[in-house]
Amino acid sequence: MKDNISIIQDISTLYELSLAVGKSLDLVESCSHFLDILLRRKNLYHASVWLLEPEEEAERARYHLAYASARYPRHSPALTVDAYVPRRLRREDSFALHPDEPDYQHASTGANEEGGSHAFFRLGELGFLHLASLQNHFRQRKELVQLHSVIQRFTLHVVACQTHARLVAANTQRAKIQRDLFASEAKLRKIIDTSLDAVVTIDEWGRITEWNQNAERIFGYSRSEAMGQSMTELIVPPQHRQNHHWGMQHFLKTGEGPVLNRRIEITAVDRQQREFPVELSISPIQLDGRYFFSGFIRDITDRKEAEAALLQAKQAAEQARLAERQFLANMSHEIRTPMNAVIGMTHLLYETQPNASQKDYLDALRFSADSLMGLINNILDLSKIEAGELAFEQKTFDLAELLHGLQQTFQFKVR
Amino acid sequence: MYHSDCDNAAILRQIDALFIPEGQTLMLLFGEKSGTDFPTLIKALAARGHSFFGGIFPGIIDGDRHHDRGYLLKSLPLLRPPLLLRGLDSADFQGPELSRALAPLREAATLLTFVDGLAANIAPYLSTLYQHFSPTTRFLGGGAGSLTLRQGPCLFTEAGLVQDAALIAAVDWEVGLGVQHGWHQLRGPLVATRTERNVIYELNWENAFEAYARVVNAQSEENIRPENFFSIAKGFPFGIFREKGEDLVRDPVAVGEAGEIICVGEIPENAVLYILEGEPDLLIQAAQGATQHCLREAPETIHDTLVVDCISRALFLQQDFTAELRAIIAPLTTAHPNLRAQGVLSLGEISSYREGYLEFYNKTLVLGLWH
Repeated sequence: MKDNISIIQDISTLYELSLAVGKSLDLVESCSHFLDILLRRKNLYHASVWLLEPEEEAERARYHLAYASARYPRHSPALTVDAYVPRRLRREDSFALHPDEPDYQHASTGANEEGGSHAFFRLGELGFLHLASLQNHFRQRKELVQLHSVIQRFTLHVVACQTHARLVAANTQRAKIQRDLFASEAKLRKIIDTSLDAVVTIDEWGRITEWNQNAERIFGYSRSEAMGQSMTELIVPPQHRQNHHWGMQHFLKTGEGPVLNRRIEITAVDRQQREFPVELSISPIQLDGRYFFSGFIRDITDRKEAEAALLQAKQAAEQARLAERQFLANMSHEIRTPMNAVIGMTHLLYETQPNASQKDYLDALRFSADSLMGLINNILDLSKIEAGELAFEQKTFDLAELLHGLQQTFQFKVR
Repeated sequence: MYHSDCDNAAILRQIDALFIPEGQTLMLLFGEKSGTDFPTLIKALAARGHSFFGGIFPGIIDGDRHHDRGYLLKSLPLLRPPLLLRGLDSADFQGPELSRALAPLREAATLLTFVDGLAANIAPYLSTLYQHFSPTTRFLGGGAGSLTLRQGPCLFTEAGLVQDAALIAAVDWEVGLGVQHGWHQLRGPLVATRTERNVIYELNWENAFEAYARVVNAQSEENIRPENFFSIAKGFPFGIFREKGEDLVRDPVAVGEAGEIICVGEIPENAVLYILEGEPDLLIQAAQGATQHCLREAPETIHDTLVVDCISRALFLQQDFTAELRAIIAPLTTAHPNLRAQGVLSLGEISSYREGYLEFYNKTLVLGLWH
């Protein structure tokens, strides 16, 4: 009867311990739950889990404390792979050490200052579990064997916790990369959307893969309407479509494209089939062995109209200047001819024996006629200067006569 | 010393007359019917510059007598001022925060801890406490509160009188511990197939009350019902099986509308339980056994005692409870004639199982001998 009760108690303890495995996928939480119940039911005072941290050089690997039911007097000790406990666990799944045994001194993992009995269980290839008792536990091999079956389940769960931790770490890293990528894409989109040009990207088949806000504005198609459409059909005027197609095929065959990476002027069509001038630069981009073409397109309708207006104004100005030159040439001829007659007649009057007073009049007349002739010559010189046709002459002149003439001119005006 | 006059002026007179060695802290343990004006008393003690802590318990033990009115006044050498941890009931009570609070006490050899005995997270609190200290640390304490089982403010320091809390004092004395209850298995095993902290919803995959009542009714003269639950259940507590030691007792105190049984202390899900029964002689023998164990390991000089005995033992033993207290006193005074057994009647007892794991007990005697 006593044996039966004992068996029932053993079974019920193993039942409870088995169900205590796998409470959580967090290693510490899981160890805490399972070992807490193990300590209480078995009436132990210490449990700790030691996990192997492998190194490239096997002999440098260490067993580190992953969980302890109570604080270690010596902080986070580490055991070498050649320490007594791991060495012995390479030969057996579990073993116990008691104070009356010669090897007892090797039981220390840093927490056995209380003494008592100690048991060690191999956790597969991961490490080991250390239990300690003051109630003379683990004297019978049966006790270790019973617990071993539950601890095997616990080992599998430790593997699950470690795998889960690695997955969580990988997912966290992936999530961070995705966040960075989204941030980077958002930044790029902002740059593209705020670009002054329409930015249109197509793939090797001419399908639109990027269409920014300015492209929407210039061509009248929304991004959702344009994405995936054939760019040729959408914005290339019918007369240029064949050339566009040939150009693409030529580039994909030879890697050469005369219109690539430079600014060209061409026409495009918008949603209303209005053809308008654009300035275009195209850059090919190779990603994963496939080409994409990014086009920066600027509507230059306003600039073209301004250029035409400027040309028209220039032509008008040239015509006006021509008329002016015509006028001056005419004026030169039509005014100088009668002036020559006036000057000639003045000379003839000097031959008619004028009295002193008449001679003064004739002097004034001759001077004024010469001045007027000089003035007309100067006007013609000015028009020659404007036309860049003034030719300098080299000839002797009488300075005294020039100054006298100036005196005469202004003396008369003063008078 | 035990004092029955709980008027603030009388308490302060006793304290003023007390010789308090340099650096020691006052410990005041009150019976729940003392009627003391605690806020005023706390202010007055703080104003006098005393370091102090204490609690309100269902009863006070003084020699072979117990009282629900009056108080024990003692002074203890503490390594640090007492620490008051609040929020023991909160659902997000976290161990790591507790670890930060406990960091300054790390090197303590003995920890005295009182908890609000009706708080929800006593088990995780004690688990974290054990993890934080080395296995050589000794723990002693109990649950404060009222026998009405209505939660209320029951622990105090200079910071005030609070509920839903734990109080920790790192004592610069060592302590010898005796822990025993004397209850034995009646029926079992029963598996607590659905539980939540201190509530059992299912036993052996059926309604907890129905399964429990079936066992109890076979033993009890009167059938157990929700209305008489406490008065009958106090004689049939649960025991959580432990190898090489007494079962850990859990006191069933009430039954809910859906037949769930509410206990003092946590019952882990899938725990294997036994229904226990008690015989006065065996319980009294256990109290004597705990004292004798304690004395066997005690040195010649003992500073003081702290008895933490469960109120439900007093309720179960009734007039025989005096015999239990005498069973403690007899071996104690034989070895140390000047030593007086003093302590509290608690809502749950706290101790490392002698030198082992830290537990929250019910219906158990914990004896601490300070040395």
